[in-house]
Amino acid sequence: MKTRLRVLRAEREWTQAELAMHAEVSRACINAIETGRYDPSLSLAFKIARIFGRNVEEVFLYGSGEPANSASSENPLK
Amino acid sequence: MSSRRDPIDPLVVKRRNLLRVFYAAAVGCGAAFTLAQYSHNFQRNALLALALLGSILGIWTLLRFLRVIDEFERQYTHEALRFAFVGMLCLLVLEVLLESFGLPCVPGYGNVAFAVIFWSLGLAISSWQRHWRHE
Repeated sequence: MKTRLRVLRAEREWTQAELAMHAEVSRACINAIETGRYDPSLSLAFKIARIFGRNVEEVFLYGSGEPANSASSENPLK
Repeated sequence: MSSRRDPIDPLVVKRRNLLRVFYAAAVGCGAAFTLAQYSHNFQRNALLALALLGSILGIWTLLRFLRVIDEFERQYTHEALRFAFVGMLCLLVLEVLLESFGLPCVPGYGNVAFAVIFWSLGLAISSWQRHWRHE
């Protein structure tokens, strides 16, 4: 999972620790999400997206940079 | 941005303090149990009561710690607990086997100490793996 967290954080001039405090997680957690070492749970992903006033698919991108909603057209179950 | 100082997260301080209290209680408990083996009557009972209080404090702080950690840290502790659980199972099986061959049995508090050691080892290994796996 890719994320635009670093960009969104930079827009607000927030440090990882400041975002961590808003999201009520550790700074290590934010760092791990930004560097792709950890995929957040759904509830944390929604929480972070809400902090930035965005939809979750605007913050977190599924797979190799493709937005999650565009992947639905390739759904083999359809 | 980089010159700005990061705020001190009260949750991080709380987690660290809980871990410190847990390890202090574990060490104190072990010391009290060990001393009780070499004491008699009232002194022995007092030390055992102290060890019991220490173990209750240790268990309470461990439960508090598991409650305040976030989902990322929960992964670490889950791996550490899994490591400790499997390690303890292996150790207990080995103890039973050795006892059946007539070797002296390990006292109960020895097993508790091994559980804490296994958990600490598990924490160190899982954080080390997570750090170096993605370098």
